[in-house]
Amino acid sequence: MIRGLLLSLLCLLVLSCSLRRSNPLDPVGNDEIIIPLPVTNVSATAQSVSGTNIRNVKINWSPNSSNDTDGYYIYRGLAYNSSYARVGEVGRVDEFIHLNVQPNRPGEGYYYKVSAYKIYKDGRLEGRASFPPTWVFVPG
Amino acid sequence: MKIYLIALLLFAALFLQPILFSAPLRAQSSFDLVQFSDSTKYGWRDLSDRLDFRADFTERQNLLQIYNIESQSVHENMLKSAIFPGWGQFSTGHFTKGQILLGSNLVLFGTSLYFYDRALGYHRSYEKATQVDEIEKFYKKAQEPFQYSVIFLGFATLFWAYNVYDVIGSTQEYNIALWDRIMRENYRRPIRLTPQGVEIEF
Repeated sequence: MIRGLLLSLLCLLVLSCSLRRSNPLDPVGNDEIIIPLPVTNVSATAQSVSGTNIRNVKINWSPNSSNDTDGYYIYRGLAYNSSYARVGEVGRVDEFIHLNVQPNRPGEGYYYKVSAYKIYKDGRLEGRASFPPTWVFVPG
Repeated sequence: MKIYLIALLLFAALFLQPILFSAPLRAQSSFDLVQFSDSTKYGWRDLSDRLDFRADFTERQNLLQIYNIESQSVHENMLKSAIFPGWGQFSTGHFTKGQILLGSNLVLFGTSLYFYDRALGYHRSYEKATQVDEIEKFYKKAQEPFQYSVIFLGFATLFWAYNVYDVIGSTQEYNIALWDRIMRENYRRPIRLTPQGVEIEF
């Protein structure tokens, strides 16, 4: 009887305990926070600067509504499942040119992802990145 | 004239006060002297019985004094165990039990602290995260060790409470054993240690 009571109390204690959602950008339980929608229709095109070995990549996407987006982050990865590094950020536009992309990897391909962000007083909240990543071949 | 009158009144008040304001003294109406002096009411058949009883009583009183000096207080041991699990059990000589309780409490509190520390680490990452997926990922990662921490803390608290409860029995056991030992040693030995000094029985 007492053991059962103690175990019930323990279960109640465990279930009632949870960590505080103290991140001001956390959308859970915070109606003022709007999550930027994932960016769609991402395309990437390699560009060569004539007379040089400089190669650029132009990335385009469909812009999100201005209600949930104040800008975009652009990420690049060397493989589909690799880690992606942020290569740039832009305002409320629909293209980005990644300059001089491959001084050390001539004739290779890259994967690009784009995500939207919204600015709040406590910082920027970034939405989900575009999926799947967009592959582009950059000639040597 | 007035002064004399006031002085007379004060004098009268001083002397009449005990008579006027105190309860009247009454003699006890009946006192049964026979019953008062009847020694058989305590089960003594004669004076020798009474003297034997007195000797035994005095001896027990002496033993009780030794017991009071050497016995342990339940409250004191409870406080000891509450401050440091197993301390009360160590005081009463229950070393194995004390070691088990101390070890269990240390392991459970330590494990709880370890998981809590992990949860805090993930929670800090959650607080710094600005990407929706990362916010959710780090919150979930923090939640799991935090619940383990609470579970272990709950068990640790139960063990701690049991440790405080157990010391009551341990202390009573110690005190009973102490009384038995005092009695045994006192009645076996021809030389007895009493609060008044050493007694030698020939």
